[in-house]
Amino acid sequence: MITLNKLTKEYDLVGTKVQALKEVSLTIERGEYVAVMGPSGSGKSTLMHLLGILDNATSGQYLLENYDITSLPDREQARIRNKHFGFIFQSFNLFSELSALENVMLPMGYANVPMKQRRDRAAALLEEVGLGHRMHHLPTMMSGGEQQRVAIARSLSNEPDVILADEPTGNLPSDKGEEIMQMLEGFNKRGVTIVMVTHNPDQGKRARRRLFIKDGELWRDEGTLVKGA
Amino acid sequence: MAQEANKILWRRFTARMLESGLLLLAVALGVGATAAGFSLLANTQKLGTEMLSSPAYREIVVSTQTNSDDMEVPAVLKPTADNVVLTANDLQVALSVPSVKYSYVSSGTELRFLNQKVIAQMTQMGPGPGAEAAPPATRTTTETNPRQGPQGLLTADELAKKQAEADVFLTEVDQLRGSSVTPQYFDAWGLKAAVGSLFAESERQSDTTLVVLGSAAAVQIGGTSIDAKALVGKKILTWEGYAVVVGILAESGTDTIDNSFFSPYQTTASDFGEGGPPRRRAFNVQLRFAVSDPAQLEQAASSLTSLLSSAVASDQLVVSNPRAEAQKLIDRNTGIGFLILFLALATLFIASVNVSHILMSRGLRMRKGVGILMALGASKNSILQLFAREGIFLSTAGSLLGALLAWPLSQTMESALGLTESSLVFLILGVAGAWVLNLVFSVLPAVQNSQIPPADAMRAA
Ligand SMILES: Nc1ncnc2c1ncn2[C@@H]1O[C@H](COP(=O)(O)OP(=O)(O)O)[C@@H](O)[C@H]1O
Ligand SMILES: [Mg+2]
Repeated sequence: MITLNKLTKEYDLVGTKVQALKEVSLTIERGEYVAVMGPSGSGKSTLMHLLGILDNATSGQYLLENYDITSLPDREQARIRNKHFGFIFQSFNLFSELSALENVMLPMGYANVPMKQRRDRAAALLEEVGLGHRMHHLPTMMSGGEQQRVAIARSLSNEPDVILADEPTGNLPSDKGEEIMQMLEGFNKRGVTIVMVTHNPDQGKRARRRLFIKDGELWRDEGTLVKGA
Repeated sequence: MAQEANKILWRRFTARMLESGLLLLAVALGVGATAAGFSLLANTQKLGTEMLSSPAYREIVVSTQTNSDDMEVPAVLKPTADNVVLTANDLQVALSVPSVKYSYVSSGTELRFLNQKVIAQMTQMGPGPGAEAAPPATRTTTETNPRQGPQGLLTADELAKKQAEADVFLTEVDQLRGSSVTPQYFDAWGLKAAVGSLFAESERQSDTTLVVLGSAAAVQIGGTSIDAKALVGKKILTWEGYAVVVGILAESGTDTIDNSFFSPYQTTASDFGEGGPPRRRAFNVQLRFAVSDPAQLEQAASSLTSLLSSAVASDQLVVSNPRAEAQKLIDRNTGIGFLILFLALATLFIASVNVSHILMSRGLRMRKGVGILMALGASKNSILQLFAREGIFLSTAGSLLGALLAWPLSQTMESALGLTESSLVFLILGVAGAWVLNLVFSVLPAVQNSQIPPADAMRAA
């Protein structure tokens, strides 16, 4: 489903070029569960941003469903992010001005889902992550685990093909992290492709495929679907 | 559309109500002051132009020191060799000044009419004139001092008899204000007869009082029952004899003219005749000389001064140029208007820059939020719209508030500067203009805030 071809990302840091990602090539099939691992500063987040089209690569090619989306106009990129990707972040990134329900409704607004449908679906999703009773609460009144569950509900609101999760349990105590892990695994079983950055080797082992990144390079790719190594 | 994103900004806006309120107030003050300043300046220009287009400001007014203040009260009853006053005959100097197109004398007067009602009142109140020694048991009105002309006071019967005559007309109106003028008055003011004719130079010595009625005055005299036009040729009975209507003016657009009558200005022989006190109309003359092009006024004034100095001691002669006086006033008001507009624009500019600055920093504070919105599906364009809406709201609400401020402000300023009728259109234009100026500053930050790549915005703490 996703094919990266020698994807490179350079940052211009006051004159000197920093290569955050160096000619990364890989393929991710629909329904995969991929863990991205590597030391801090190795380029994991950069890879996630490129996968989610939050950023454009300096060079290389990005094929989504065999369709080159490397240099699409902003409007198209926004539409693809909205329809095909769900994002989960380490720091939850909910809007503190909006209730849990409104946070989950937000991506559906950009998809022009009618208001009533938006509300119903958001409520159902919150119900599903076990927060049906806290729909109208502000994120600031919720625990980290609860906030991350709202974020998960939000990432699912437009029924994405891929969930990109950048250290989703990094800010949570281990029992709450476990809850999140189980939810993600549940969604994966229903066919959602999951790419997750993690520092936790145990979590990494639960994924069927692991990508190891070091200094911006993909130096190991282990898992069931990988041919060769 | 993502209404939820609008909610984020709206709740941020209201959560900082003090800051937001101050921003609104700043915009309101800037817009209000600018609109009021603009309105003042524009109204000054408009009224000034209108005023100067009046024939009154194409004239040089010449009089003598003693009577320049008040032309109604004679300062000198008997002219002596060293104290000569101007008379209507002095209008002849105009012939020697080529730039002067028309010259005339105009003096306030009034007609007092006789009708059944007046007669009834008079007979009730007391005997007529000549019986003034009658017992004072009955009150005689002093206002209507029967210093009347040839008729004396008519009895009701006599009046009825006169009324029966085909060419006699009695009006229900008691009196009418008007002017006695020399014929060129009509030319100078561009007045034409709609019915009948104007009186000419040759007619002004005739014995009966000739009257030309203004359009509204004709309707007033004629009453509703009679067609005003039928008045022409009719003799209207007044305290001083008949007034013969020779013509009715076309509507002039000037209320005072339309509501007046005009009769020939009497001069010469009778002015000083028969050893008695001269008739006061011969005195206190203000001679008016109209030019066709206002640029010629200065030159005409100096020519007239030198020509008339020989007739009147030069220290007695007062030559005034009303246009120059009016222009001075307009120039002063224009200067004040520019100053106020300049200060107001400075206020608006400072307010706008502040709005811009605060909206920009609010955007920066929301950088990460912008990144998240983009991750969730917002395009740069929709982010631009999101912030632009905030700017438009601030600018529009502030401007509406400003309009509320501008109204009393401009009223106060305009009445202080003596602008009687001010057009609301200029105030509205002023608000609109100031709103647009402020809008540019309010929407500009939106452009900045939408140009961050989402990944960069996300990394922002
Ligand atoms: N906007 C940026 N400008 C410059 N350098 C950046 C920027 N974003 C990331 N980097 C650099 O790119 C490298 C990879 O960063 P990142 O992908 O966040 O690492 P990780 O998520 O694996 O910790 C780091 O060296 C980081 O300093
Ligand atoms: Mg990272």
